[in-house]
Amino acid sequence: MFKDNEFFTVSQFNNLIRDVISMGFPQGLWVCGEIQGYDRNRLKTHVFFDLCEKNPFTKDIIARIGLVIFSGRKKYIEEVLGEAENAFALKDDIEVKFFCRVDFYPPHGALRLIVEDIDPTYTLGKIAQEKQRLIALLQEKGIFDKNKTLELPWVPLNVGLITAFDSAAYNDFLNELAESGYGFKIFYKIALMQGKGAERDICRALSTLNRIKTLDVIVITRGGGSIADLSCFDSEKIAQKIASSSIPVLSGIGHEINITITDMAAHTYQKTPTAIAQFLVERVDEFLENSRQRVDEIIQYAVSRITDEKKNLKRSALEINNHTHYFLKKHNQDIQRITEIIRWHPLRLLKIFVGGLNDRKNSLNKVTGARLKGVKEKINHYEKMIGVIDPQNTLKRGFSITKDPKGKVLRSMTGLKLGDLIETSLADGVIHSKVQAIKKKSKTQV
Amino acid sequence: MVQIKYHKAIKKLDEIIAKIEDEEIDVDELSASVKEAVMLIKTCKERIQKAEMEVKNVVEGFDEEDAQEQ
Repeated sequence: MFKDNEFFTVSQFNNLIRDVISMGFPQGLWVCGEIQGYDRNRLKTHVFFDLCEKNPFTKDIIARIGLVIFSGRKKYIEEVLGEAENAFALKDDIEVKFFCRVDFYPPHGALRLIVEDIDPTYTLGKIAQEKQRLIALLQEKGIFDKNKTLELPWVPLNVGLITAFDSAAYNDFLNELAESGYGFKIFYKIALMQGKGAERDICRALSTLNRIKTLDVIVITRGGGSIADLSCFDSEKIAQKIASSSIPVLSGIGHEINITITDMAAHTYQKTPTAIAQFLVERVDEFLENSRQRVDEIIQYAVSRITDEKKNLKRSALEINNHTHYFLKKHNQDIQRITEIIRWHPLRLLKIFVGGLNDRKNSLNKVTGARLKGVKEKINHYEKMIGVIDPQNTLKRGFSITKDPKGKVLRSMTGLKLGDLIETSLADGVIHSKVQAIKKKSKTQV
Repeated sequence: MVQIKYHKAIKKLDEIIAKIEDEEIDVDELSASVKEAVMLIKTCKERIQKAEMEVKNVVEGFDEEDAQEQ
């Protein structure tokens, strides 16, 4: 086709290639691949980077091609991503689907794909797919359950905080805690909360805070705003760190739609830093409320116990009263019985004694009766004997007794004068006489 | 004055009654024993009344205390 002296200059050749390529690719086409070398150029006017394809098993790059986003297209691409709610930003290692024009640039002799458009749904699908794969893997390993088995302290006042330096999240979180008036104590660890460094920073902060044994909880939190770069929280490494943490980890990563793998691995997750702070405050509130209730319960229990015991005591008192009453009644009856005995028995006894005396008297009479008779006879005999010498008996036999006026028995004439009144006693009476004559007997006559 | 214990008083009374009932007692002792018995009975009765009153007071006092608290 060419003669020996015919040749192309480089430019001719390159232009030819360009023409051929233009003819070969009259229209743009969709190309998918993983972004590489973007991050280091992303701030340049025109961003040059590569798109690669990797062996799905070995992860070796099996194909590579250069791309460029010209400054004029950059804004449009950002708009498209913005419409997709900034779910991701262009960066290294993500899978993208670009609509490109194939361009050969003669001055450099380089083939390049010029990015015209992007299909975010592809990347989102890939991210979602990757996330689902990771979730399944971590679930299988039980990574999501580990931190949840830790017991959240009732009063989580010592808080390890992982967030960006002086961020809105930091201020929101601390303000909310401060408003509660509780004595929260913050152990602050600064960490990048987006981009490539986030995973590394968060993992380090988790390790550091885990060495503080007095901590009650660790909070990973991030402010609201753009939800771009959320994918750094879909990290297996962060999930592993959370799983191996001996302190409960709470996450508040500030997103609305999807929960991240960090959230899933955490003990508890909330949407915002404020919500996480409220969660902690409510925990303390709840504890105080429970404590109050318990105190109330204890008081109620004590009061009802005391009331019951009082009732028991009252019952006992009544029983004591009744028993005492019966007891004393019984004793009273005893005393009454005794009284009756004491009242009547001695009298009866005295009667018996009197009876005994009478009996004795009677027996005495009987016993002595016979002997007395003998004695009586003797006495009669004595009486008779005594009767013989009794003057009365002498009188009966005819003798008499004469007494002088002085009442003296007359034994002789001596002293008697004529005219004296004399008294002569006979057996049956007395004669009063007057002496008319006195004749004295001779001595022999007497 | 140290008062004789109730149960001792009752025992003493029982002894006196037994003596009287068994007619063992000497007449000379009788009136003295009866006097003693009457005295003991009086003491015992007083004790019982006193005990009953005190128990009543205590129990009523308990009720009042209870009422005041409520």
